[in-house]
Amino acid sequence: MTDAKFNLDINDQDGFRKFIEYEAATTIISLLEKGMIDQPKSEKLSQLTLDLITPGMTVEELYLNGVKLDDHDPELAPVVYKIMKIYEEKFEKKALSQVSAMVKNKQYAHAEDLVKKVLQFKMSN
Amino acid sequence: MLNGLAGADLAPGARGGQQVAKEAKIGVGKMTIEHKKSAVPTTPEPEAIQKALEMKKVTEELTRQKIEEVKKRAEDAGKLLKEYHIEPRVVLRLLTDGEAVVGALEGQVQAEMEILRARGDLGAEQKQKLSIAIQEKYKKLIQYSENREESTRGLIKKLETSTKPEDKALLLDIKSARAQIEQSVHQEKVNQIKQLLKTPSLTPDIKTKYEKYQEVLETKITEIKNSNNELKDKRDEIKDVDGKAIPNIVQEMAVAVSGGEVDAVKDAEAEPVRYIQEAIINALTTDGGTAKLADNLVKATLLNEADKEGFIKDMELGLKTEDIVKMTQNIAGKTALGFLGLISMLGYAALQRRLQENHAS
Repeated sequence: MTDAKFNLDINDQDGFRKFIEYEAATTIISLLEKGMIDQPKSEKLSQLTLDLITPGMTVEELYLNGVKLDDHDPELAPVVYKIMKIYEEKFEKKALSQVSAMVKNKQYAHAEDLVKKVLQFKMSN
Repeated sequence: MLNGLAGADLAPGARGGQQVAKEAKIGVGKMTIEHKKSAVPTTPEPEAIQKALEMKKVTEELTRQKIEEVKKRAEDAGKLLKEYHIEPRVVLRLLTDGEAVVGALEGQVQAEMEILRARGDLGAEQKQKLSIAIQEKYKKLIQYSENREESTRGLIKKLETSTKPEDKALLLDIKSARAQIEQSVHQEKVNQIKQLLKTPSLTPDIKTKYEKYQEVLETKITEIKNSNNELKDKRDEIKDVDGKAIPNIVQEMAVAVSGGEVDAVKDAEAEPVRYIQEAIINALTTDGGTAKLADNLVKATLLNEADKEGFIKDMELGLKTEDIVKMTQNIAGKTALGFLGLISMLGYAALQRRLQENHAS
């Protein structure tokens, strides 16, 4: 599943960001080519990716924002799956520790969303 | 009594339509049966059918062309990404509507970082420090540009729901100005690529990569130009309730900032978007320049006196004049400042115009 091109190191936030952008761009382009989305939809999905994933973000920020890509647009669900996989594999961090941090900061709604996604990912993996 | 009714045209009961009298045999006699002919749709004329079929063909052809264009665009973007390894972020921006200015700024950051990485005279720690400084330098501008793009999209959405001709005209003026800025940013990129392609030591694969990128950008420029021509045609058709033409707000702004001298006004009217952007850069890099700009707009009733201070703050972005001067030393920074100023000015002018309309009505 991991792209060999992206040999990501534990602190390579830039590499992780480019991986997410690459996967999002590839998915959007593929959907456009197959006629499964139209131009306005492709613009919306591209804009969403650019808004959520920005240069300078830490690995954790990229992960937390990246998993939101399919919140309203299931077309990007495959990208979210890959983000979670890479995060688990390459960065050796447990997503649930992010959930603990959110609960500590009283971000209960976000924590709940993330738990659901992590569980879905774990069940299908 | 109806047993012997043969041959009678027992059409369904009255539903409107013509009354038709028909004779029918009933047993040994005849009876006149009146019934109403039901109102069925009349068969369209052959010419009308032909016309409808032709229009259907044209629509189908246009849809097919549109689908082909979208697929071609996707193929080109895919090639840029997978074959020519253009940055994914750049490709995503090409797929969006707008954001060319933010893209240009990010490109500038990238270019400066690459130059820094290539410097053999600096150690890792120094490079790290300078890299952070580069990102910080553009971070504010990128954030402001994204915010302005967001607020412009919001204003466009609002205007799209209005039925007032003045709002429709304003909507098209804003869309057209935005399109012209996008076009100029992409054109600047094409010019940079053309210069780069003149480098004799360029390897063939790099050359092909940038030729393809240039081709995609030129297609995007053509799309924007065509779309803008359609906007202009629609704009020309819009009249106020009295049937009069509605002044173009961007042109009004350009004439206002020109100060009124004959030659300056001519220049302003010929290329209003470019003129305003240049006027903004001059104002930002001159002491008291933004205050003078604000005065000209107040005189032209494109800015409320009460909004002057807020307008000047918005234009200056909380930056010092010396920082602004540094930013104007590269094309991306200069374009971003011009774009931010123009969009800000449009926002204030649009607000002022809408207030005036409400007072008038």
